[in-house]
Amino acid sequence: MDQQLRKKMSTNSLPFNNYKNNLDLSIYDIINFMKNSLNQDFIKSLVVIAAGISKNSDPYELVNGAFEYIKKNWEKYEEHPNLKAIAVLKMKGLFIDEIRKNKNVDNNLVSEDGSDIEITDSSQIDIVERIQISTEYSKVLKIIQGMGDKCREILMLAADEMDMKEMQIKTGVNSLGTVLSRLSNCRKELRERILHA
Amino acid sequence: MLDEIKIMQFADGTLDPSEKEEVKKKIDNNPEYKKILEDYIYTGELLNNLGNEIKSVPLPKYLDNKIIQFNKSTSKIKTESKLSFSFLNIFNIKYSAIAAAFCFVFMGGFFANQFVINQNSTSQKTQQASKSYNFDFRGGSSSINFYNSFNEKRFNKEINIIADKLKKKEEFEISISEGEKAKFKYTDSFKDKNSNECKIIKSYKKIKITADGDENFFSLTICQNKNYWSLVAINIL
Repeated sequence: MDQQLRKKMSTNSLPFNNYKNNLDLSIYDIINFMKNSLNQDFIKSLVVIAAGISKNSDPYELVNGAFEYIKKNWEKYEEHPNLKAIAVLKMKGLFIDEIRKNKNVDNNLVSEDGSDIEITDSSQIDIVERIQISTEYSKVLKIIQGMGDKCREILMLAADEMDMKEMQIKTGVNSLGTVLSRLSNCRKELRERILHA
Repeated sequence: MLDEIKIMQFADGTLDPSEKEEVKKKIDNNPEYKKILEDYIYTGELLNNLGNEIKSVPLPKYLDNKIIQFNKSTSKIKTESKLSFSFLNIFNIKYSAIAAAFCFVFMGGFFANQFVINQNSTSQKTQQASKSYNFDFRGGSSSINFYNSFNEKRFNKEINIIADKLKKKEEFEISISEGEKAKFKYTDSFKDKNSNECKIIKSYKKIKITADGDENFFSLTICQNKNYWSLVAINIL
């Protein structure tokens, strides 16, 4: 139990101080926290991450695809220690499939998790318009959308309050140091872009 | 020279506690580091707020409906397949079993919240007792010898030590009565109507409770409430 709890808590721990300080959980809450469920919070979390994965394609459709996949395989994933990672990888796969479809890209050119591929899509949807957030934050999202794939992805993972270990799993990057340095560089770039916007 | 990643971790509160003091000192003594720290705090809060802002947007109706339907269907499946007792099923029970149930409830006193004995029309007989978590079981008919000799306190104590670590199909030994242990296998899990985690364990071999009693396979259901596992149902197969 202790080991399981520790593992879960470490993969679900939160990077920002303000959130940590507000965390007031009983053991019972923690046990419930550990259970997988496809509730609204989980799905909304995926929307945040999807906004980092996709570029000009509907993030809700990616989330819908991941949801359908997990739903279909619920027996397999009900007790999976990192359900979000499964969902993220599925969304990435779906996004790549979409690009392939649009561009007729040879499947062999794309790695399985798509982690190190620069993807640009010439298609249709303006994500910032699709997710109807306030003007202030839609500007920030627009700036992030203008950044490279790797930055877009890691910044939106950070926006979903994930810890570094979690980000490492979801980005498919081998070392934790790489995740840290990528996040650091992308945040600097974001700051620069905001200053010059 | 201070690594910028350390400053970022300091800003996010994710820096190793053993390094905090040293990093803080270096930042305090260097205006350039202070500026970097401010930038990281700014982007950290910005991303955090952006995430919350996106999460505050209602999901599209079709996605929302899917979540509701999915959660309805999973809880329904669980209730139907795992919590097999249904009040309506009582009409399918043979009269003798009903009489035995009444007899048992009466003798069981006021602590038993729920009890049913169910006899299938097939050759295999099933007797089931289900109850709330604060159940204090008593019984007296020949069909409930198991409950009489069952040491619930000891069982709960032992099961609480191992229940969390149990893996499906894992076999283990546990006390069922005074001085007697039995081998069980963890076969299945489900969540009850209050979303408490429950596990089903089945006896590995037939168990003979009393010297003159029959040997039976047993299936026990344990559920976790407020971090405490306790027995909630016993099936004699």
